[in-house]
Amino acid sequence: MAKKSKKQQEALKLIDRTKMYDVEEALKLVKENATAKFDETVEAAFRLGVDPKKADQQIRGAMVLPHGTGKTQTVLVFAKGDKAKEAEAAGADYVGEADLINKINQGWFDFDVIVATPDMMAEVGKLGRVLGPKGLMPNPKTGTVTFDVEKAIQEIKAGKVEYRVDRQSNVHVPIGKASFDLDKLVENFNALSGTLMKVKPQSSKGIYMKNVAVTSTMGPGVKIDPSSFSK
Amino acid sequence: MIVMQMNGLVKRFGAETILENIKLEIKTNDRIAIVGRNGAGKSTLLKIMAGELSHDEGEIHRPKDVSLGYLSQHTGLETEETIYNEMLTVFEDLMQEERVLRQMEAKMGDPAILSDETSYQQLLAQYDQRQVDFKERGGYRYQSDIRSVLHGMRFYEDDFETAINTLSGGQKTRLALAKLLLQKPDLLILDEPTNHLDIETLTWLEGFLSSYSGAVVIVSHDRYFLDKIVNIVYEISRKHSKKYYGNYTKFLDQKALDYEQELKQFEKQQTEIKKLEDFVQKNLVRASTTKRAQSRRKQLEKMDRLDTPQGDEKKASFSFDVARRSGNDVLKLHELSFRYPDGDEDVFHHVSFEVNRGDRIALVGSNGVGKTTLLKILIGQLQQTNGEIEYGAKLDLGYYDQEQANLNSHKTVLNELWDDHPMMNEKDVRTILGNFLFSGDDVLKSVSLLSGGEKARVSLAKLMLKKANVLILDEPTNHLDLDSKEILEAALLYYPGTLIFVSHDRYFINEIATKVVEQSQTGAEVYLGDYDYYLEKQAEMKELDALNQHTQITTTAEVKHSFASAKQKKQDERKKQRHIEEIEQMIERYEEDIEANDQLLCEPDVFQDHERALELTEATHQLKAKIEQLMEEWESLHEEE
Repeated sequence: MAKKSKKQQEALKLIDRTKMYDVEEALKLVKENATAKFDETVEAAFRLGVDPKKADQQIRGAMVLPHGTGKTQTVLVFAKGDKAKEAEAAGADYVGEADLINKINQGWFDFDVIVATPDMMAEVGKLGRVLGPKGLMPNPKTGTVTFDVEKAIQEIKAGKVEYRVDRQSNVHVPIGKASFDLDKLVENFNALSGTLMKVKPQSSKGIYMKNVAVTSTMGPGVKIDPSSFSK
Repeated sequence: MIVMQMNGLVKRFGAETILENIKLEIKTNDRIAIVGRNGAGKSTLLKIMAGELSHDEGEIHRPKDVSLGYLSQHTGLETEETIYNEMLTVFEDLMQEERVLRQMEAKMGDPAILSDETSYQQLLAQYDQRQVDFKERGGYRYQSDIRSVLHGMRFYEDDFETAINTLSGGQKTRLALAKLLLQKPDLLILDEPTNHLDIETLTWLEGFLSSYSGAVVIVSHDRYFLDKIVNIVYEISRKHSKKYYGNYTKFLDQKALDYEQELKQFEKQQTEIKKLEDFVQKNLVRASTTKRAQSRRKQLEKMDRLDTPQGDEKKASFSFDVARRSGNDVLKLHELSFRYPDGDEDVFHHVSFEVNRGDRIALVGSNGVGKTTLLKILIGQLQQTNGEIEYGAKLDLGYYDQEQANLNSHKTVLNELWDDHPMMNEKDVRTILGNFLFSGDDVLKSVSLLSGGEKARVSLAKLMLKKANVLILDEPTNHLDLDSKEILEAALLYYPGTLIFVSHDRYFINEIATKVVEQSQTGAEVYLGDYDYYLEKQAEMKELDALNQHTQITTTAEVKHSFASAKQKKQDERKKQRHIEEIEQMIERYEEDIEANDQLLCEPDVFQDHERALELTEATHQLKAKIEQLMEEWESLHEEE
């Protein structure tokens, strides 16, 4: 077995691995254990009672965290005419059409999110092979294919996060930084769990929130009792 | 998850039962080897698995959604497509999906759709679902997948646009395998995939199959390959199957153990039976004991009698002999080159090496460098473009063809041999064929109906009768089962003539070869040793190359590094010097001791006391031995400098 580092051993002393904590306690522990030299990201993980193989049980979407993720995203917008101006006004970092497409084709990737208006998708689609592998393709469900560029940009800048179930029915979402105040983290967490409860597919059977845990980038995971918030 | 299950499977060809009561279970991530003699029905079983052959009794269960990929023994892709395009056909559905996505994107800007909110929303929802599916199914990955598999099979970017029908047989097989690997079926069935692969490709395939995400079923006669990959072995022997856990080596051990155990149990039961029978015989007629005897008899009747355990099946046995001895110089190749009449490039050039009597030369090199071509030039089937071959005196060449093209498929096995040697009588021909495991009616089978391994054995039988003093073998181990291979090894080891062979079986080369000739397009390199030696040398050369490159690039980091290493070196040097001095001092001291002992021995009261004298001489001997040891150490330390 791999050796546990000193930090890891110390962190584990504080946590009772068998105990299910409530949200506040858990996030407090995570904050205490985030002792790395940088500002660690706090992440929540949910194991859901859905079958991701079934099309109607694929939970996917985006939501805005009330206190953001602590990261500002660089936004690139593909739009033309009025929409381009609107995007610029809304604070997009890059706005353009064919010029940007050429630039990306040559290997330029200084942005985190791409927003495109539907009428630009025919052009953006040509970048599929470049953007797809990096997960940068605009997608309507996460709100990045839309005419309402202003709203999209504002939301992304405010701390919009994407959530989706993976093949093992898990959802991983960042909910802030370890430097956040505890109540901000708790509110972010509650907003996320609330959203996930709302999007529960009707066809999902049995327990929906099977396991929940929060952790920081370098810290250990802390389990949360799903019944403490999902009522 | 269970991928396939077979229960009580029976397969007959006409009246002959090939497989009986076969039980088999394949789970995801299983790595299964199916082993057995040539003609035991391994390929037949694989074909039944793949659905290419029907079975007569029993049942096969396979979940509907399990995909299956099968590579038969002699497949090669035959198409006019280029290599890359052919590989793309595997992903036809993904490419179609990509086109649909692009169409949908184009539609999004269509004013007609934009004006209709419901159809617009519908389009977006559909697009979203398809985009995610596309990614999940590897839509963004397939091109790199193709490239990596093709690289593994040693096709590089320059080759991608080559039309497949211009490739060699070995290359076509490799492409068929590549295509199958790209399809990533849940159950991968490979019938002798190693036959046409060179060693580098084999190593790559080992790695690929080890981390393959589905189940793999392999028939192969390459021990190294099986040992590296499989974790379950099914043995097909006497029509039945038996399951063993572990790799091939483990299987052999377990099998020997099982046989011993069965034999013990059988013997135990036999003594018990004997005892009971004796008792019954002696006591049955006596009134006072007849009851007891009757009960023993009942016991006997009820007993489950064990069958005599059957050991190994019959093995082929043969040896090669020569009719007359050849001269000492067998062959001299001088600057040989070859180009196909319609080719625009030499297959190889500057190939020169010498062959002496008794040499066992392995010709190695990757697929397509013209090893077979070179052999064909040696036997005169092809004519070299440039260069000379000097043949020695009294040569009888015997050639074993990897395609077995020298067999006439209309003849029976018996006639195939007999026609070449009409002066032999039938009994002798049958005896020889018997040694190659063709007994009874087997010899009347038509050659076209034989399995790959059986054909190989016929070819070997023919070769043996020829009594050539130079054997030229092109992939003799292909198709042979492991036992036949071992016997071929033994036969070749004791062969008094000269041997030149091409093989990709590492174990085989290592056993047989005394010289390795590495052929490449630009010439031939001779290594005077077995295959391990060849590998060692190659590793050495690589290291040397790396070292040369390393020294060429001098950076500041390196200066730093060289400073550290120089320091270390000086430290080592000092340490060594100290050690040498220590040794010298010790030697001096021991020598003084010896001298003292010698002087003591000269004193009368010592040499008269024989016990004390013995003690002293003993001590002197020990001291001398120590000095010797120290001297050796001292010498080696000096040599290091």
